[in-house]
Amino acid sequence: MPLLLAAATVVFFLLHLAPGDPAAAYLHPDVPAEVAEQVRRQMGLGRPLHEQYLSWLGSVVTGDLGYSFSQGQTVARAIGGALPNTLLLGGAALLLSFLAGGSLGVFQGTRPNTATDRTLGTATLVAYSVPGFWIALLLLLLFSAAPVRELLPLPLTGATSVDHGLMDPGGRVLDRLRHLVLPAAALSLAPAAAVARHARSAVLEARDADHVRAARGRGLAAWSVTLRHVVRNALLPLVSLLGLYIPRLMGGAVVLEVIFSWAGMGRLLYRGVQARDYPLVLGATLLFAALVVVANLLADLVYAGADPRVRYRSSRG
Amino acid sequence: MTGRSVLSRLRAVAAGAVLAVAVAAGCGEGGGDADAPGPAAGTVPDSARFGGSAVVAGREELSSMNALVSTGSAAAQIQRHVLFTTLVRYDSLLRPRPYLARSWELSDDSTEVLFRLREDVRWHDGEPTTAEDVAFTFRRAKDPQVPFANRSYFARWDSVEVLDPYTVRFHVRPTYALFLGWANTPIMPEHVLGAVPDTALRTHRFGTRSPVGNGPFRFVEHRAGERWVFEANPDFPEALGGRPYLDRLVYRVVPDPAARMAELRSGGVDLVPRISPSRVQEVRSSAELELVSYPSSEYVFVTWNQRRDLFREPRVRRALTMAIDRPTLVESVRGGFGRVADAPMGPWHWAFDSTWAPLPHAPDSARALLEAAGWRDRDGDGIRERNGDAFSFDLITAGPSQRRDAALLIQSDLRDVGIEVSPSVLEFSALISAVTGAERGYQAALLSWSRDLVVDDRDLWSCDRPDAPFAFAGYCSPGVEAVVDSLALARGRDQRRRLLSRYREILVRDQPYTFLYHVNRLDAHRQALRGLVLDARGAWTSARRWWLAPDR
Repeated sequence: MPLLLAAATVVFFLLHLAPGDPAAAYLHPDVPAEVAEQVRRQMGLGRPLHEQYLSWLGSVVTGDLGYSFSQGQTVARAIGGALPNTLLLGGAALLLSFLAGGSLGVFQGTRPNTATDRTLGTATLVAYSVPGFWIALLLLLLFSAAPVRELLPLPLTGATSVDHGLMDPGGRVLDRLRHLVLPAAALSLAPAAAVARHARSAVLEARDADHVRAARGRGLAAWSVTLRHVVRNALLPLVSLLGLYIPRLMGGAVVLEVIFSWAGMGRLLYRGVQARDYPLVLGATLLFAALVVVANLLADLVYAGADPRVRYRSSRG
Repeated sequence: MTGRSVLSRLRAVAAGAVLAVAVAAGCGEGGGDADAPGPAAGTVPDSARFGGSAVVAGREELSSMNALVSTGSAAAQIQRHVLFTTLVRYDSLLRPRPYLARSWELSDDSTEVLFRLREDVRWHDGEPTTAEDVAFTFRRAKDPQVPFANRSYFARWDSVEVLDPYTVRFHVRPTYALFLGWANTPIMPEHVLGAVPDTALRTHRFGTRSPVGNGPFRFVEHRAGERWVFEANPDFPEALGGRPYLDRLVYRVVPDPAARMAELRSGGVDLVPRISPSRVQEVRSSAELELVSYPSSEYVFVTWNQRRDLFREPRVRRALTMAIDRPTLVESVRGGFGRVADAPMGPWHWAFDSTWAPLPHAPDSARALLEAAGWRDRDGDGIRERNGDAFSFDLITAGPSQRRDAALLIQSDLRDVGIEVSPSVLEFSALISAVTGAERGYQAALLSWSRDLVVDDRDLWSCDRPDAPFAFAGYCSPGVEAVVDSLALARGRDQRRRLLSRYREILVRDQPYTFLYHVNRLDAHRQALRGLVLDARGAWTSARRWWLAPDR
């Protein structure tokens, strides 16, 4: 809670410090001065800053995030429309980066210092270093080219097709998934590479642990040892990565949602900043902050749940 | 260089050509209708053109479908040409033509205008469109409590009377461009919005969730930040063109320019209005895409803040203009898709005269003028001084990278004549505040105007209201006041042509702005999308007649 309050306060004053007038941004270019003045009043500007801050804080506490002029709807409604899209994209990217990155890391970790391992190591390092927006533009270029389009026709931008409303339920799910492919791929590439690198070293470490050698010594099949003793132990450090990557995914989503016209929280925030839509930016930031807090909490809980040392001790006692 | 016709670069655009011919011949009559079929007309029978969806991609979300509170040009276009109707509309020569009003009469003393409405236009919920709707729209647009963005349209329209369900009479004060407001402001439904209080108009669900129109397309769906979907209105009167060819018309919000082009190439989008000159090559290299360039009413200029000593003298401003190599600027910044300007009237305007010669690029004359004004480089640092002050100022701008490039070129050109310019790119709303705000803190600013299709600049040069937001140049000249005022009252194109010509002469002499160039707008579309009429009126003018080639 204090964390959220601090975030909200900092953003509130930063926003008001920035030059530019929300009414001017909203009304450009040809609005008479008296109309602008009237809109400014309607927007609740013109009052002293601390009054604006207190009244905003007061309404937030009662659950009223205010009205977004750039969206033509309440902030709560705008966020309600955008949040599911962001959760979908972020969730898919998270899943993808941990599944793909994790499997790659295990694959590398079980054959360390081979040519395959070294090639993949270079590849993940490159993938980790490339900025997401560049990957996004590359994907757009690639999938708008005629030969690729014939092989694998994927929608480039947007979260749903234009005729989404006319589809049957199964078609709608498929439509959503098809739209998810490119943005989720762009968003998950760097985290997947990072996860792969972490997973590789975790696997390497676990391989040399005593119990693994003991298991191997008892003549258990190699795949069984890898799966049951190595991978399970290696998962732990990855779970702690989860809490680290959720905020990073959200940051990346702002840029990628704009490029892929993905009507999510990141786009909403971006448009709010552009339009100087204070209530919207504040509401969206507050939500982002809350998501990060919740994500970290979840990661901690998962970590505690997945920590085998807990079970180890209890089985001994 | 300057006089080179950018029109010759066009592949094919019917309306653009009509405009060019009309300008060259100096004629204001005959030919050219908004509904003139596109280049491929005649090869496909009318009946085979029905069906399909067309998708237009734009940068911004549409603020609202409620014309009384909306802002932004894309929203205005869609209101006028897709979802609603206007009393009159402009043909390609920018003359008012009947639309919702089937005829009108102007009283001899020009104080009364009577509109007779069509009786066959219905709102999409089945109610007829009547004189009450017109009166409602007018009263709300005039209402000081309603933040109607274009209040100046009706500044000289005083009151309205409903004579019968299909006849309205307005009391007006004489003005030219009498119908501008009625060509641009769609009629709103009284039976839906009549009971909504002024202060609730902006937030009413009509704007973004359930608009009821009476135009050629009906509202289907709006997903905030994603798209607006419209479908053909089968009941649109035959006399106004009947049911549109397309089944569905979609506006998609795609903020990233590279993503818009990728969608266009891949067929996810059929039309992208207003592409940057840097993407021309990309469009031309594809056999499936078509590039259209046409003169728009937008012009780019530098405003000199004449409240400051630096810019107070006309000869100094003339020197500044002549020091800037504008032909090169148009070439490098717009890829040639523009034309050096010296007045608001560009090639799109009926009064434009292609023999008008803007001030030349003449650095030597510029230097001489500066010397004469007492600006000399006394300390040998390459920068001129007068009374101990260096000729040095900030040039602020915002927006696309073209603006930044132009500012850099101006910096280098002015450096050559001994003037130091520090360009800086601001955030857009910060720029607007700096220029239109009451403090007028700026020195020089690089901006563009996209004004109405009528030249009425009374709000730009104002001796009596120097604080008016758009009088940011601080230029006051009795000569200009007289011309723009009499222009506002002039009747007939001949008289107005003389006045506009005089207006231009004063602007060239005094250089309150340095007009840089008229923008030739660039739109890109898939070849399969036909029936487009793209000209200064905007991309959506002929939406009713768009159709998709069957071989698509």
